[in-house]
Amino acid sequence: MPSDYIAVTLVILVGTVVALQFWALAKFVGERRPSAAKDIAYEAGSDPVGDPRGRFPVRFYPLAILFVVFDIEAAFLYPWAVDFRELSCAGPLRAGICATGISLLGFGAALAFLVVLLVALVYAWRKGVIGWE
Amino acid sequence: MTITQFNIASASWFRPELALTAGILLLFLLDVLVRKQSRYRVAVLTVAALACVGVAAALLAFQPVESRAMFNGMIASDPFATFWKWLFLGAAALTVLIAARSDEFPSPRIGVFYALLLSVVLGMFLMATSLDLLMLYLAIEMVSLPSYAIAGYKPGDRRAAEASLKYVIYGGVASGIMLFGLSYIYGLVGSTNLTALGVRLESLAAPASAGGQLGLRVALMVAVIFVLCGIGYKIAAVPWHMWCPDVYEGAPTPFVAFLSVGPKAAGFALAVRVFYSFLASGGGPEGFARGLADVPWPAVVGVLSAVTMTLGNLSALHQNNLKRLLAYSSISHAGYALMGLAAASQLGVQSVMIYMLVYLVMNLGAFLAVIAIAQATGSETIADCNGLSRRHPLLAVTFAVFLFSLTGLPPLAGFVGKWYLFVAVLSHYAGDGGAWYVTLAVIAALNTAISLYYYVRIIRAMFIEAPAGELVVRPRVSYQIMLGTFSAALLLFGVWWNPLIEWTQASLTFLTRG
Repeated sequence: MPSDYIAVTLVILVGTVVALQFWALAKFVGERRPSAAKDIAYEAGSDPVGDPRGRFPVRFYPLAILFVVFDIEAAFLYPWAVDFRELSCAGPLRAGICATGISLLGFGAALAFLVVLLVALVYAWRKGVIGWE
Repeated sequence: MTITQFNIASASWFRPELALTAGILLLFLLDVLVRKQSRYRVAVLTVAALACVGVAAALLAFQPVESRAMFNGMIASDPFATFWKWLFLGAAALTVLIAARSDEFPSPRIGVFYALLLSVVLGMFLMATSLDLLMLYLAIEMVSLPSYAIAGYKPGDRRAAEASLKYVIYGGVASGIMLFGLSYIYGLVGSTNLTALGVRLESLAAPASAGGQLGLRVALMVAVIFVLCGIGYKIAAVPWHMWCPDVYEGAPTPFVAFLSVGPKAAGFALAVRVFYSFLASGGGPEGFARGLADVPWPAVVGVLSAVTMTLGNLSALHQNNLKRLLAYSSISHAGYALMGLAAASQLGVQSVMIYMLVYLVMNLGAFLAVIAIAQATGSETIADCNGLSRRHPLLAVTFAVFLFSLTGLPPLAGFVGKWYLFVAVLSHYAGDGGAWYVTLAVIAALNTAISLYYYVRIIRAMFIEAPAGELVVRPRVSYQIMLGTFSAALLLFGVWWNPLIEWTQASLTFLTRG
């Protein structure tokens, strides 16, 4: 129901007001006594050492990306495998049996899908992503 | 027909896109397989990219003309989409030609650029054809993601890294907000199909059912504004323009030339389709976009248009970097083109199409001139243009033609484009809210005058200032040919614009509400 969205709008409004209120309280009421100790980084609890813009190796990162790609490939092949019988039959299936001729649609569709990923693999391989220097 | 059969039938209408997909894969393969000396490599990859665009164009030429929804209503094939596809392929081919002779793409890395460029083109094809909210979102992402990568193309360059990061963060936020708005629309209507959306929204927003429902109206308004945000980011309209100057400054110039015309045109194609489908209410195209959630949407677009052109022009006034100047100029041109949408009529849509077509040629030309200047001087400020008319008259004269055309002076094609936008807006002067339309036209006219100032600053530097030092400016031959052809085209269509009108007129049919 569209009227349900009143609640959502209210949540947005209340959220905005609460956020603004804390900000305003800190800004106008709160005291500020800066000191050297308060100015250092506290994020990870340790003093910053060296330049944060320095370079660091990303060896694992491309591999992780590749893993995601091929993981998704496998995930996409599951629904295809479930429908493979139906897709490979030129006519409708009767009680799981294909009375008419065979269609290459199911095979071809998956093949096209895999070729795209194969190109990606070849590309990554030749770019040296898979090696570990 | 089963879904499978329907999809197979659709695929035969999907040939240009399939050709592009195959071409992208081929380019990625060639990029790693061709490892000969550098000039041979660039030649092979350039020919492959052009061939891919050519095959897609040939298939597009044989596309059936009638309108039709494909893939279960995900994608449309209609004359409107075909028009934009031609425009995108043209921009892609010209960008490939420019990039091939540019210094900014070293031969080991040009293959990736071509492949990513064609991926963007494929995304733009989908943007201009999408008929479904999800498809529309995916198409925008398909354009954005390769663009982020190309924006940060120069390795080890701080400005490029900054450009890419700003682009990613800004684009990510904009697309997130848009997705949120789309989810609201789906929640309200229960459908993601653009052709069904308009009708259902209309019955929801009808006075009888919406009379007391403040919640519905607020939700609709929020949703539409959020969707506007995603589209506004793609066409770089104020207030979603902030990424534009920084990205233009840091990204490789040939890609910036493409970015300023291609994705912007795709954004307008998408905007037209979306506005016609679910901001419409009754009365066909002429009455579109009125009354949904009691907000006069054409007026909202009109205000956006006025703000965009004014802010773009005022910011461009004091720019000294040519790329930044052209970035702000491209923002203001998005503002002008939005006038066509604000006009909310067939004529308005047609004027947007004409404007984008002309803008493609003149803006690519202006960027090409900047590339040629930067190749000779090593930087891209207005001071680098000093005395260009004595160093290389052809470059100076053609650059002046592009700038005058961008201003909209006759007898150049830019004038024709702007003229039709004004006609579309002013044709409302006697109707509802006619005074506002006249105001919008006056603001646009004032902006044209302002823009003349900063375009003429460049022309003044080229023709009046004395050249500093002895510097030889000799653009590459292919650039000279392109500069000449572009200016000739602008001159030709500035006096003989019938073909533009007829083509856009014939392309005005598109699938909208079912």
